Amino acid sequence: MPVESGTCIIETAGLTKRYGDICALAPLDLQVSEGEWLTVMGHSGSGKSTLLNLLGGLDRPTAGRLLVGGEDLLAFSEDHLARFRREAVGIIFQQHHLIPYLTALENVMMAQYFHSVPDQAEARQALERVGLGKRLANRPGELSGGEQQRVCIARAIINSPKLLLGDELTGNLDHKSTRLVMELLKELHEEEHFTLVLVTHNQEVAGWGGRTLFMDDGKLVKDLRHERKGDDPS
Amino acid sequence: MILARGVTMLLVWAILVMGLARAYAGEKAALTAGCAAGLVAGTIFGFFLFAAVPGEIPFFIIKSALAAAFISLFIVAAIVWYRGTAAEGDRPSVRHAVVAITVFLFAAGYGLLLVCRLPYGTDNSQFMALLLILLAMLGLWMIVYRLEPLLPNIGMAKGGTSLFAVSLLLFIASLSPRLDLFSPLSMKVMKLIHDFVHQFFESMLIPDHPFFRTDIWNYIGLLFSNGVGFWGGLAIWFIPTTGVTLATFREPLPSVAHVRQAAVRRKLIAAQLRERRRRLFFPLFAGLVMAAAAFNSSHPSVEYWDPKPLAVKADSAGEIVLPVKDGDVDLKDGKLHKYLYQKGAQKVRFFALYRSGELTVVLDACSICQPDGYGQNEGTVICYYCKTLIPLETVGKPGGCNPIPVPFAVDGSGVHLSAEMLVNTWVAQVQSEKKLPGGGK
Amino acid sequence: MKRLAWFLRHIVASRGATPAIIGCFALIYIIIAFYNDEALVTLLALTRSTPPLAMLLACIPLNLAARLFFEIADFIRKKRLTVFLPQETWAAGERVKLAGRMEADLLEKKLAGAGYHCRHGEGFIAAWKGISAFPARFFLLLGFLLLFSGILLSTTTRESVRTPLIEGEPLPEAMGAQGRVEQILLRDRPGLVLARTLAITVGFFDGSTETTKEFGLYPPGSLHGVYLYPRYLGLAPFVEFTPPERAFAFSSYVTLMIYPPGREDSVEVPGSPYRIAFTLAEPRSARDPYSSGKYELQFRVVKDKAAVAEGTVPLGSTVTRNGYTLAFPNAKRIVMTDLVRDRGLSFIWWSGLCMLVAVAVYMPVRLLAPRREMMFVAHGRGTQAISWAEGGKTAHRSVFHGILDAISRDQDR
Ligand SMILES: Nc1ncnc2c1ncn2[C@@H]1O[C@H](COP(=O)(O)OP(=O)(O)OP(=O)(O)O)[C@@H](O)[C@H]1O
Ligand SMILES: [Mg+2]
Repeated sequence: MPVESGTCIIETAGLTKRYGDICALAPLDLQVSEGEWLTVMGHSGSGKSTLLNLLGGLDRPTAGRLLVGGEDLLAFSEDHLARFRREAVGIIFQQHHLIPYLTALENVMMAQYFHSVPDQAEARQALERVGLGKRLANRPGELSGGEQQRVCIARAIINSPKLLLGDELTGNLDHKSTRLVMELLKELHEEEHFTLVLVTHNQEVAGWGGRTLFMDDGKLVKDLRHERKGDDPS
Repeated sequence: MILARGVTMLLVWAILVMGLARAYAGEKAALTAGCAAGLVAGTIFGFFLFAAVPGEIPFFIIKSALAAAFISLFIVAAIVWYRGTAAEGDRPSVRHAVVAITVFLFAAGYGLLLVCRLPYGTDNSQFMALLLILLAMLGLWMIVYRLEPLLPNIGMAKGGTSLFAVSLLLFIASLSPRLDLFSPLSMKVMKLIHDFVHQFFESMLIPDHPFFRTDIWNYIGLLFSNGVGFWGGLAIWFIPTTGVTLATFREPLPSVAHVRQAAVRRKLIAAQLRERRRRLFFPLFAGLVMAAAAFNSSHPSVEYWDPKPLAVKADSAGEIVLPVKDGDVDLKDGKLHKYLYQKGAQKVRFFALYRSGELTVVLDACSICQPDGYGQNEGTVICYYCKTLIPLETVGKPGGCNPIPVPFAVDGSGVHLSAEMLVNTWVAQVQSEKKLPGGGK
Repeated sequence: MKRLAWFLRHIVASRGATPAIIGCFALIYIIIAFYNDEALVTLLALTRSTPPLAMLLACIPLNLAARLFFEIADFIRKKRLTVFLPQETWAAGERVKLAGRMEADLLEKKLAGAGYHCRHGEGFIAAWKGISAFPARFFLLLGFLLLFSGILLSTTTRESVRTPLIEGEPLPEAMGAQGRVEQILLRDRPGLVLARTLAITVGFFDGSTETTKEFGLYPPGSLHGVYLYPRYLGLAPFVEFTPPERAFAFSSYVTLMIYPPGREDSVEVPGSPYRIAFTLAEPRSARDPYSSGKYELQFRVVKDKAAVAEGTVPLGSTVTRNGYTLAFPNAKRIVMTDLVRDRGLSFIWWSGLCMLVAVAVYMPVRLLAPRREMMFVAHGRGTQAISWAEGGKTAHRSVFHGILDAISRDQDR
């Protein structure tokens, strides 16, 4: 069981994001400890993706404070922020954003390339770890949705990020594939000790984590700690 | 003209100082002292040399020093190649004295070349110009030193400093045909290749061309073609820079095997690679400067007097007569007069020249270069192939790259030459004619 | 004794000795080239005549031989140690100490998974992949050894005498054998490099028995260690010359270096003011006159520097011009030959072969299957790991690191 009461990896105070009149994220105070598995739920348009994008450095807040890994993201220059995104966070989206004309292996190596230098043996190992040891040379078009999402996971964890963000990563998957992906995430989470923040509509997916945030209209309405599932076969 | 030269010299100085400041960052005192002292000492020594020793000798001395510097680059490259390269900055043990002496040498070399680049004549204006330039340089030094920290983050490869400084000196030398090193190098290389092929055939008992297939022989003939000296010279010219570049490139990276996280390892390797790439800057830059020097050398900016050869014919007795004075043409005007005699397909170019109160007739070719001919500039003729300058007094004497002298007689009707002798001398002595290993022997 | 061994190892067999000596010679060459146009010839002559210089040159084969010896010894020693990780290359590779220790079977499985062969002995596992470049290295060193031995022998001991071999005439004395040149045959037979073949048939009579031997162009034939090096061809026509002044009549074989056609050679008529210049006429047919035997001589009779008669005379006929008669009834072929005694030559030939083999072995091995090795040695409670590769370094390194990661993960559990 990963430790849930460690140092804070995410710390926000009055974090706000506005798009013109629309307040996508109302002032938010949030603390996430290292190694935690956090799920964010809420209606469509409630500001989940906005929050995730802010945490991953994909977007800048309108106001507030945001510390990730003890560093103040708002103080970063664009260059520094880009480096932060490449090195410290792994991001997985619902639309997988794999490069269609590269093979699975090359897609993973691409992430290594942007991080530092490509390393084929390591990339292969990562794909083997997500159970795609036999599909290295296939392009995304030749893989199922679940497999593609697993390539994304391999790609996201290849640079050993401290923080892994997932935005509805199982949104397109059926029940069985979702389960496979979640089991994989659980296993990796135990081995790699990264902090995981997942956005989802799926109640079942939320059950895999140890803490769930409920959002509505940009505001945090509930912060729930609960039992984690996955240990019991269901 | 003098202004353009001055600007070039200042620019080279700025680059030199910038590089040295980067190479020996943190040695400001030694650097400043070495630079100032070297510059002043080099210039004074240059003035002294030109005042005390007449004629071409100072140029010969300076050229020899440049050649020695160039050769020492090979030793540097060999050491780097065998010892491996680490960033020069990694050795804080470089002593102040060593830095000061190294910088002194480079600056002195620069000062010496600075004197050579000044126009001839000993009036005061020259001295004033020099003083101004010296002052400007010292000023520039201060400015550049301030600017140096703003340079992008580039490191110095081992051996890079000498490569960089010497290449800049060679570049300055290439601006003047008297000091240029590349052209004589290509000539020597051409000679070496010719000699080597002859020697190889002879040593390995390889039969001569009558027994060879023509196509194969033509390939061998390429080694005797016009460009072989240039390309061979170019290859040697770039050996030190390429050597150091490759040595830096193939240097093994420090092991990261002790790190247990793959991503961190990759990060370290990427940083090492980046650092190594940065160290390539100075060797590559030196290569570029060397290329510029070679270009300058093969495109000298000086204009030469080079008249179109006048076609002449032999009379029935096989004699060629050149009138000493014929209309506008005056053989005794001190300029070279070129002639062309043709027998069958065989062309012979030669020229007549009035110098030191005497007429002389020589072939428009020497016995060691390709017969590209000669042009005249104040006090000298230049061999176009190897860019060697030959003082007018020695035209008519055999040997080296001097034009091949031919026997002639002068009387009231003009200069008399034997056509057969001309053809024979040309065929026997000019490089392009004895082009193949067994030929001409 | 230890001192001596150290000296042998570090000075005599040093890696830098040969380049340093070659550098010395290059420097001498440059210095000579400054003052002299015939620098290479001068350098060779200087080496031949200056014992210290010859000794310096001799140091190169000595150094190479020592290197060859030590490298072979190293190779054999390392080979006995399962894989060959040359001591000096350890520095260039990677070596690391790990706290963990892995079960041998698991480690072997991992290594095999990455395509490595394994062998384990007491307390260690060695893994390797690809072929060692040592054979190529061996041939390269051997080639250089032979090359420099050959150059040394050749520059210091070569002797050469130039002499004509004439059809039907006895062998020149310099050949040191009794015999006669039976036949000289030039044939157009385009080969890979040469366009013709030359066969010089020589008959030897050794008391009672008679044997013949054929000497060709390349590789040059040899007799008792003396090579016959054909330089160029000539012709010895039998010429009968009758000028108007009968007293100066002349008839004899004359040795003329007039091959290929167009080349001129002349003969002084003894005791007369006459000189006759000959050239071989360009053949009418495509065939070379030297191989067809259909010679046509162009002659010019010169008396006191003035040409008095000119003409063309084919083999077997007589021509009269301006009262001068020239008959050409017969001709013998000549090969101008260098008789060369050179012990270094065969060394250089063999060196060429060795280097070819070295390149032929090295290229495919280096490109397709370079040697990659790693070794895991139990070290107290931890593991000492060593890795080294001749090529494919990046991939090898990453496999090695991956296995190290696996070992330490294993330890964590
Ligand atoms: N670039 C933008 N410009 C303007 N408004 C935006 C922008 N991005 C998001 N919004 C608005 O911000 C609000 C929050 O959007 P967000 O994408 O965070 O919702 P969400 O919770 O992820 O919804 P869903 O579950 O449908 O993905 C929405 O009202 C949306 O219209
Ligand atoms: Mg969303």
